[in-house]
Amino acid sequence: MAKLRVLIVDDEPIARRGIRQGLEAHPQVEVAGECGNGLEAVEAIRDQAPDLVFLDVQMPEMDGFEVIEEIGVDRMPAVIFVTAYDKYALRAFDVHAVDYLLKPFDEERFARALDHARSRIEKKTLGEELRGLLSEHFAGRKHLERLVVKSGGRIFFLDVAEIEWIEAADNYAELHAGKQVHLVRHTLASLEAKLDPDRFVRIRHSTIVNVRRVKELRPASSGEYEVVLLSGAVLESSRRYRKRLAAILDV
Amino acid sequence: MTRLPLLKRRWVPWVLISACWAFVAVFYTTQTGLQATYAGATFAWWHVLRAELVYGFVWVLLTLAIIRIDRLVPLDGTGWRGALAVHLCASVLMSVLQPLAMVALMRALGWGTNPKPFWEVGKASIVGSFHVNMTFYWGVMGVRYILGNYLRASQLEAQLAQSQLQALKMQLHPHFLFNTLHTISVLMAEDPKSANRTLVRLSDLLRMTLDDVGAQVVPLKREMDFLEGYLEIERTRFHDRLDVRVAIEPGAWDARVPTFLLQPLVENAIRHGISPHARPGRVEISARRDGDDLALEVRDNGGGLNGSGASPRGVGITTTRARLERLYGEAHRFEIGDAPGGGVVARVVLPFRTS
Repeated sequence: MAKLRVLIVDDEPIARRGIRQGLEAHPQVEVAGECGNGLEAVEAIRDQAPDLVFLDVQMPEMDGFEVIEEIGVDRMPAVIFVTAYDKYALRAFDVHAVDYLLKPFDEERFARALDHARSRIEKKTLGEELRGLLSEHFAGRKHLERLVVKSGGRIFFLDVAEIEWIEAADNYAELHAGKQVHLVRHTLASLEAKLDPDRFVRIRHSTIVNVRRVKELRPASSGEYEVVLLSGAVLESSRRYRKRLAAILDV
Repeated sequence: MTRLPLLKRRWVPWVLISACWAFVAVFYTTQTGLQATYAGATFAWWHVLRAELVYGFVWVLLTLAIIRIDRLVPLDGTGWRGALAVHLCASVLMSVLQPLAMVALMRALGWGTNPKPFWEVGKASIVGSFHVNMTFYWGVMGVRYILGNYLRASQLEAQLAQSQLQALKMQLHPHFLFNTLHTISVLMAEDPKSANRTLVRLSDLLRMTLDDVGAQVVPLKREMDFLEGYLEIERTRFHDRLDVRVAIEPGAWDARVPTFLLQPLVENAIRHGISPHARPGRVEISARRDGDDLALEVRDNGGGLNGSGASPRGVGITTTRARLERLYGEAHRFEIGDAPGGGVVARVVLPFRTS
């Protein structure tokens, strides 16, 4: 059987070494990489596709839950959450039967968590628990405020207010912000579901526009509009989506 | 829903005051009744009781008036001489008005038994009850002060206990405690000496916490010792990501500061200012004498309040604010705000005292 490839994510270097120590007794596992924050973790999970992630819950900028949300439950490898103390998270982990490890841990507890995660990987029953956990965790939040973007070798957050419009490109989406275009691994439908519907409106099958960036609507042929943005860009709307745009812009 | 403590609810004082005066009415009725029965006279219980209840009712209103007056001119305030004069006048005035109100009410209710003109009856009533009424006025004042003192003392005690508990919890912040224990656990395998050093620091912190729980103020030096232990652990944990600078004016080391004043501020700077940013962070702690004041500052170079706008500033800050208010009242300042040039700065200004 192929070696299990794991990724270690924790903002404290010593804590990452702790996971490595735990793994020493398990030669059938190899470390694919280490990350010190959530953004790096997102990138590493996408690039290296590990089988298992040791994921610290509380981290700078982007916590463990947000990492999973950004990756998407369906694409997320198996996870063992690692935390020192967080009674709300622990309750949620128990309710949704996900694997977790409490700091500090000993060899025995480490081995038990690892075995459990491994049997879960073999049975391929990964997604459902995480889905439940995430929907509970983000239940209070309303809309997406920022997106993780990778551009020019750099990975960073893009505030949704900076987006002018979004164009579908197969399973990706192009975020047009200023003079830059960022490609993100989201479908247009999934973005539409997460963004505030009062701010981001679909104007045709393949385009979502930020209404705050709209300068004017210009009637075009056969009842369609041209949407003119503050930046001067002109987008076409299709009749099917005209009503929603008109309702929000009050025309 | 949160429930107010019983004594704080609006209707409670009314009910208590009314109950007291109803008790006085019953008390007088039985006394008069027993005297009359003993003397072999016939006694109209109900007639006497209702008259006493009217008497008590007038006093319920007067009691509320006395409380109002005393709030305006408290006897234990700075202008107590003027207040005493006001109260003396008020007590005489009430002792005169009370019988008149009583007679008027009895007549209005049709319970008046004396056929003489109002003024005649009133005069007799004033003369007959002036001394009792004066006694009641000052009795109400006495009870008010005794009860007030008692309640204030028990509130202070509860607050003190609360802040001690908070202080203890703050040091033992579970997240900090367990992460430190984990650091020790990991270091044990690869660097036993470091592990031991961290363990000793943690023990120092716990010991100091337990020792100082009762003390309200300590010399700044002691607070800095505590902070040093705390920071050494945080430095081990965050290592390349944490740069701490301390600038204490030589004369400031002996100044008294509230126990555990700085630690929650520093913890905040680390947690909200440094941790959320993946780049290395700096925390600057400074203390200097400024005339009659001691000025303390904790500054970080994180994202500032707006950058982490949604993140709460912690229970520690609320407790600190309340403690400073209680210990120094008007004589202190405590502000947390965006620092010029980025980050957050917490400023505390206290009276400079060395004992």
